[in-house]
Amino acid sequence: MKRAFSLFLPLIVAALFLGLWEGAVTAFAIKPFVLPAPSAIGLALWRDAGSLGLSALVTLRITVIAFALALVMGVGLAVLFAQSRLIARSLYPYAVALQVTPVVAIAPLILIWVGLEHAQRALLILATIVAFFPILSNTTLGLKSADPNLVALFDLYGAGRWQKLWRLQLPSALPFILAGAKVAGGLALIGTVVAEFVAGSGTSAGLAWRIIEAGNRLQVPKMFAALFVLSALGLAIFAVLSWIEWLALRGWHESTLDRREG
Amino acid sequence: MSIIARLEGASKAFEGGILALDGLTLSIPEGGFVSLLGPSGCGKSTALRLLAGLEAPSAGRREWPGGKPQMGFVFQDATLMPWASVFDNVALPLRLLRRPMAADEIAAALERVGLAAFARAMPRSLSGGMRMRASLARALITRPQLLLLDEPFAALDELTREDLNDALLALHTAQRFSAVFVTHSVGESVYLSNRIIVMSPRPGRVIASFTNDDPLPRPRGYRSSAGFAARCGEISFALRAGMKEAVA
Ligand SMILES: Nc1ncnc2c1ncn2[C@@H]1O[C@H](COP(=O)(O)OP(=O)(O)OP(=O)(O)O)[C@@H](O)[C@H]1O
Ligand SMILES: [Mg+2]
Repeated sequence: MKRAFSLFLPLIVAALFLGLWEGAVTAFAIKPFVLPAPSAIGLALWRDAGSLGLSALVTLRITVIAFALALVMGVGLAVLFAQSRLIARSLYPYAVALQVTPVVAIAPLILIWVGLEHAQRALLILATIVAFFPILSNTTLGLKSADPNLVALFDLYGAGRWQKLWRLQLPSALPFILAGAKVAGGLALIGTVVAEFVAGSGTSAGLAWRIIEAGNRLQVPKMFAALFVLSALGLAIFAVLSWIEWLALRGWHESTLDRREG
Repeated sequence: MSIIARLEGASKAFEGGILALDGLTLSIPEGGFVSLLGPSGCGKSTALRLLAGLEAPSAGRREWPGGKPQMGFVFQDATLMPWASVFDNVALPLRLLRRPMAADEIAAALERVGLAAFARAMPRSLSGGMRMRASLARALITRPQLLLLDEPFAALDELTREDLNDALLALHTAQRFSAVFVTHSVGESVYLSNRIIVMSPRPGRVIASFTNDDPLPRPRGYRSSAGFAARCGEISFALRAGMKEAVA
């Protein structure tokens, strides 16, 4: 009952919001290239479903690969940092520097380096750079968060570094890694789209290109439709990652406790 | 009786200048059950870590006359791995030591602590007392010669605590390990041990030690006997005298 209600509530909000929007556009006779009515956007969504869907696939493919790369690199680097303070101290500042530099600013450089004919590769690199930091920082924190008494116990039984890593540090870090992954999933999408914008025409058939294209032709309803598809992608990525998190932590982690009832 | 572990004038200073132990000397006889009593912060946990070899004394010595004994450790919290089943938690020491592991060996260990039906349960689904039983089973799975317990039952309610005291004594009788038991409870120390060491407030050293020759394990009614009350009184007195001296 509660669950049905919590699904229902956002739908009511959406219906109200769209109704008001539609009413306002009609009442004030707002021009469609300023603000199209929801019905016009719906129509554009329907008409351009084919091209939007294909573009969404292109963007999604790069997002997913970038996310996977970020996950492997982020966890891998964090594990490396956990093995040696010296390595951590000498490399971590560069990871931070990479993170705080806006991706728009490095995009042209990366594009030149990999060559415009490999624009896809540039998009991948840029999206990975954007996505990888939350995984690195969360995993680093998670690997340090093992219960000190358990660490003492592992020492008592003479556990080696890899036994500690595999049987203690990584499981302790798992909730942190998954939380980082949820953030990184959204960032990978943002990174991909920003990189698509910077790479510009002809290099990519992703959603960003659909938005630019529609904008150039003043097809504002189609711009909104593309935006809608983009948000839907972002939400879907978040939902899948939340589900994976729940599956992995179910049965042992506190965060899954309340889900047991209801 | 031979000695399994000994601290000889052991001191421990931590960074920041805190002196936790100051010349602590104590011996753990083989098969003995030694309780360590003392006010909060007097260095009891530190003494256990020194005995276990998890830390080195900053002065004095720790000795294992017969070589490094096989050890088990029980903490105040059950300290189970929340992501692993009771079975996997109890099997952990064998896996870390890369010893061959038979499933029925684990099952028997769980049986001994009354958790036979819970091998596949996750720690989260157990009560505090049951978690502590799992923790005991894990500490004893390697058949240790020396069991170190750091206020293991302090967080449990009175009845569960008494049950676990009896479970521990039964295990001690069956497996014949030496035990060092840290506690705040005078009654618990008298009920469980044949040697009770009272420590001073920080920096910790020995201010009194008592023997209790009443045979182990003790009968259920032991806690209401006159002998028990007299021993408790004696030890409480020593504990208080140590506190007063520190204040004065
Ligand atoms: N790693 C550490 N670094 C600095 N100080 C420490 C450390 N471990 C313990 N101490 C200090 O040493 C003193 C003794 O600590 P210890 O934990 O051995 O006491 P305890 O007798 O076990 O106390 P309690 O009864 O509260 O468990 C305390 O004052 C504590 O703050
Ligand atoms: Mg302590």
